[in-house]
Amino acid sequence: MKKLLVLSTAAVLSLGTLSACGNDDNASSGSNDGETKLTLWYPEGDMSPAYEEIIEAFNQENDGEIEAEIEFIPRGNKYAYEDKVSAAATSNTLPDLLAMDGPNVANYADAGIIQPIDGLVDNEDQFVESIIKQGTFKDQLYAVGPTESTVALFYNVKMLEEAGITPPKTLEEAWTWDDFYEAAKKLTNKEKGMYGVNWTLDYGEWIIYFTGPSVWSNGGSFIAEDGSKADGYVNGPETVEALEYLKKFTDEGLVNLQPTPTEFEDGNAAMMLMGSWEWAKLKDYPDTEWGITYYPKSPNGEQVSPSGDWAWGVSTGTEDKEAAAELLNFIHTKENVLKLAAVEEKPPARSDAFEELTEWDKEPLNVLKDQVLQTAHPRPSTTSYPVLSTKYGQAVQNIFLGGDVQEELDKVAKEVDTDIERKQ
Amino acid sequence: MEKTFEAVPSTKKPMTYDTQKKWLGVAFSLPALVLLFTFLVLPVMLAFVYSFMNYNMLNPAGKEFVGFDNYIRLFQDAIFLTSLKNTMYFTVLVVPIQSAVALGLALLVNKKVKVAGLGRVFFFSPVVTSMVVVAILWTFLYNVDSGLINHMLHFFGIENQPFLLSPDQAMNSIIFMSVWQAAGFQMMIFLAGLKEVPEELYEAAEVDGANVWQKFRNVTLPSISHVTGFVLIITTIQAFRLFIQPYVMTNGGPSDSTKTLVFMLYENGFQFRDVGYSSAIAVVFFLIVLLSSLILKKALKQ
Repeated sequence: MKKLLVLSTAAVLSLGTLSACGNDDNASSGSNDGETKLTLWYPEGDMSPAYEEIIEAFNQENDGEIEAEIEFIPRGNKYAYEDKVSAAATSNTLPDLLAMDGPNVANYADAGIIQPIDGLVDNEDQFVESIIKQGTFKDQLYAVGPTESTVALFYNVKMLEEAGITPPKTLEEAWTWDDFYEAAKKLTNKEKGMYGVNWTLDYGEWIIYFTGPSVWSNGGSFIAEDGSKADGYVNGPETVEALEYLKKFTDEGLVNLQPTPTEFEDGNAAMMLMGSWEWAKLKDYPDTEWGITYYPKSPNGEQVSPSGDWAWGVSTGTEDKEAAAELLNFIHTKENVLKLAAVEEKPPARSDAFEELTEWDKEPLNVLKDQVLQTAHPRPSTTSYPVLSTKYGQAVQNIFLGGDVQEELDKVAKEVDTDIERKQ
Repeated sequence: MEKTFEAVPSTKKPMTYDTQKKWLGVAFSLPALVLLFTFLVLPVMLAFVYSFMNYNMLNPAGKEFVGFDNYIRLFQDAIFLTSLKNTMYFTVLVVPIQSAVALGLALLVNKKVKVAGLGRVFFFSPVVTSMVVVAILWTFLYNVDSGLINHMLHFFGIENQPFLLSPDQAMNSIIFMSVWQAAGFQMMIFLAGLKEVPEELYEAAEVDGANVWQKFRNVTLPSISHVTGFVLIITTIQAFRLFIQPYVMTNGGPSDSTKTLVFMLYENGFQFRDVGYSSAIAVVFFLIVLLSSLILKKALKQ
């Protein structure tokens, strides 16, 4: 009896961990009284109020015919939102419209949890190229999004002036890696606790997103064009060289490995490699003059910037594709795109909306506009993206903490290739 | 109307009081049993079945049996061996340290003075705080530049330590904060055990001229041995399940130095959506925990 007790306790405590990560019972669409009900999922955050307003406006316009309800899911700095989508996919409880981060489009499309929306999107030609590219899988369009994003180099104008550094103002003059490194070195002052540059090291999608341009600019990549193989790509010589370059910053202490969240804003770092949304945050610090310059490029290549943002797709669980498409188009009207872009001052993903925002033609926001319209590069489109993103992120962290670049990236290649094989 | 028991002709044998009681017991426990079966026994059995499958979470229809493939892959996976080693290291260190600290605290707050109550509250408060919150706070404390612990070390002239950034220190840092967080719980169990030790035994020992250590060694420890056994077993099982601390504080790094079996299970199952592989990890994990508990149980009996 006692043995049984030990056995069952062990079973409960060990295997219970599996069942602890359960899921909700968010039922998908269902209709009553002839009114179509639509549900939407979006990660919780600053965008929530704007989306709530848009959904309310949609409901008023379609009173008695369609009623939409948006649910905001916490995301954290990891993959909690994606976990929830995975759980919903297994239990057939997906919403009608599903927001997803750009690189997940391939994965979701391949698994059949979102469906093609070719021909259903109004004014498709108005969307910027990178957003259409991001939403396309095997030549079919699966998702569109209202906003774009990019990563640029933000800087403290006064600090750079004092150090005699003039950051480039045009795309053609964008800094090379060496220029960037020299500047960071000059700005670092260890006695004063001053770092040349700040970059965030969280555990989610950020790492592949912000280091990607260095790799692409150097002619490297993460995976074969057709997504069939990672070995020789994510650990190829160009990719390794790009990371060796970034590693110099951490090895020499030009970057703080455990910065406070506002290190740059507080004046403890002179530059910051950050997403375009940073500009809106800097408005809370009006006493300092801020500038933006282009993402540095490899001496052997073109300037490249990362792209991609949350996009909307229609789930295969929807019962009324027409209504879902109508809502999708409503979210992406020029007015709503402008409204959503304004929240975090993100670059809008429609060129006609972009044209209305004249401040994006002036310094320093023109830098971001140039990158979005001219040098944007989407992240790789592969069904093994979760493994690639996670393992690559862990590898880069190890590299920044002193690990060997080739060794770490070899491990990534092996893990990704195992996953590709499994899915065939 | 008058009821007469004799007048009711029954074809069935009447239930005896005992059988009635038995069925009543079953009926009362049925709701709990159904829930337990649905949410515990069934998932556990499914985990066994899935561990022999190639199962992509996003594509349940495409799952297929692959025999022992997942297990073969598992034992060739360097990360699995690292995770296993890390989990063992954590358990082997945490169980004795945490139990000893808990016993020490229990003895400390068992005194019949007023501050003892305050001490109990003080030592127990980390237990009622969510581990996620505690882990986030300790991440700040362990910060290499601005962390409180490094400030204190600096005061004593010790150089700044990398703690969570170093593959050599990260796991030890997690062990330290885990003991701090959880010892209060075991302290309470020990305290309950200490309260049961009859006062007469101490008096008798005193008459025999025993000193404090002798009293502890020959009276206290033998009297609470059953509690000690319980504490050791639950602490071991809890230690094996280490997940939140590395998930929040280090993401399993640096260089996989804080990756544990449960972390690996979560990563493969939920992030990579590889249900088959993750179930295989769960099954192996279950066997390890089971084996350790049985060994520990046997060892404690002697």
